[in-house]
Amino acid sequence: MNDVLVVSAEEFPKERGRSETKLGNLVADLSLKVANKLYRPSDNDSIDFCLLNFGGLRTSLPKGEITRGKVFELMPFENELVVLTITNDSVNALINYLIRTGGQPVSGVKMGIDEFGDTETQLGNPHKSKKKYKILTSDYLANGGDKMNFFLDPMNTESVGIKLRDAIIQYCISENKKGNKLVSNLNGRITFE
Amino acid sequence: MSRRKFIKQALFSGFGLAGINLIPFSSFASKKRKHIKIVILHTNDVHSHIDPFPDNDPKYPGLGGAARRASLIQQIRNEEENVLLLDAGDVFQGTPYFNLYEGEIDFKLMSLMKYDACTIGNHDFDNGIDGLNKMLPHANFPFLNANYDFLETILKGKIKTYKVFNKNGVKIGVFGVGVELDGLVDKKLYKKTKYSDPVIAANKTADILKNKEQCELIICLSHLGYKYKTDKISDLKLASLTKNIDLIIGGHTHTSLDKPTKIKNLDGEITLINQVGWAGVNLGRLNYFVNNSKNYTVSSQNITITGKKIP
Repeated sequence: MNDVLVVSAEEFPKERGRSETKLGNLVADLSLKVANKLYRPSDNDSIDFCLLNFGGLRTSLPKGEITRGKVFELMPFENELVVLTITNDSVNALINYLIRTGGQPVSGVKMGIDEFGDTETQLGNPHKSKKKYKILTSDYLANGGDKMNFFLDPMNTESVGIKLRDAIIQYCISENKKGNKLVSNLNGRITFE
Repeated sequence: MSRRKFIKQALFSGFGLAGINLIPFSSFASKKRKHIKIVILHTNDVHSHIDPFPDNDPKYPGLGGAARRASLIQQIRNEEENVLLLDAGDVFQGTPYFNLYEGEIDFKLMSLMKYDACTIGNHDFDNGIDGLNKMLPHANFPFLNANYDFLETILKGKIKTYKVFNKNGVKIGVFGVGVELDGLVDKKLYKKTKYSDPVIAANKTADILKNKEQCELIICLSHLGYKYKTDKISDLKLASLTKNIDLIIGGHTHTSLDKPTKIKNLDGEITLINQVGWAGVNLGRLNYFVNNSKNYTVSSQNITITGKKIP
């Protein structure tokens, strides 16, 4: 548990009351990267975007050495990554959920909410017109955890074949092998005016 | 009716029965019993944090740790006669200790620290209701909950609604309430546990503790959460919608309060709410100086657990 997986370039604190955090972006981005490598779709469609929850990220990551134990603290749960195919209507409910909760960790999403509550959203590849979306999430949320009820009646559920924690561990190890430090950025994925 | 009870009622029927920082007592009654100091110590959401946070942690560098908490508690026990040690749930889940030992270490340590009671948090279901049941033999303290119905589960008969403690003649009633599980915990984990309205359960239980059990202090261990932007039930709401509860020891929202929050309850009396963050970084402490039913003063000090020796 004390083996060092990677070195982090900076602190990634667990923060409350923000629409976007570096820690949330880090985990959502790496989940999508790892899942894209592993996911074997039953059709030809790739994953559109990733949605996780702030409540599921349980601790802050320090600057410097990140141990396996620290990743267990960040993601103690045995949750699996899954890909859900959901309808446009359910995606609208998902967008409303993001607005209502003030944002959640996402990757592949750009969303601006103006002072009148009007929303401009870009989900996944903007050049694809869609009647349904494929979303990467955890099985906890897929089962309606954190009241994500829009996930409860999906058109299709597919397993990625990896736990969220193992995806984080795998990503840390591979970044370290490449000689990279762990980095993350804020880039206005969900903004409220 | 005993003579003592009669005296109490005669003395207090005319008062507003306010909760704290009260009224110097009449010499008549204080001859019956001197002030008795009751020290309430509490934790919440420890989440298997057995070791202190490392020194490079962004938020809690070098803080917490079960061994230090145990020494601090022992130090207080050496100084105080009447100590009650309580926890507001989410003992489980958060470090590899839980992934590997499934809560055995947590319950054994709490038993060694002589916890008096604990309530059940949502994460205490993380290895399923069977996982919690499997760990119960490692806890030598009771689990209290008044608003989960376990009748159709493996925990049937194992969770008490409340417990009454007698500390030097002062009867202290402790009960617990838990958060709505639907949408928070996977149903396959909590199985046929039935949640009911914590306000109704709290009022019913506090009434029993007050009137049937004749408790002088009533404490609610709550895993509802301190407050929400939505109308979800919270400790702030629970306090205002109930009566007879002197203190709510909260959890779930990992709220770190500097001092207890005072809320007027249904009777216009003060209910205190305290919550001390998470991960065993702090120990909550309240000192009640009791000399009669609903007549006490209280002071508090939430202590951050560091590596330094406490003076």
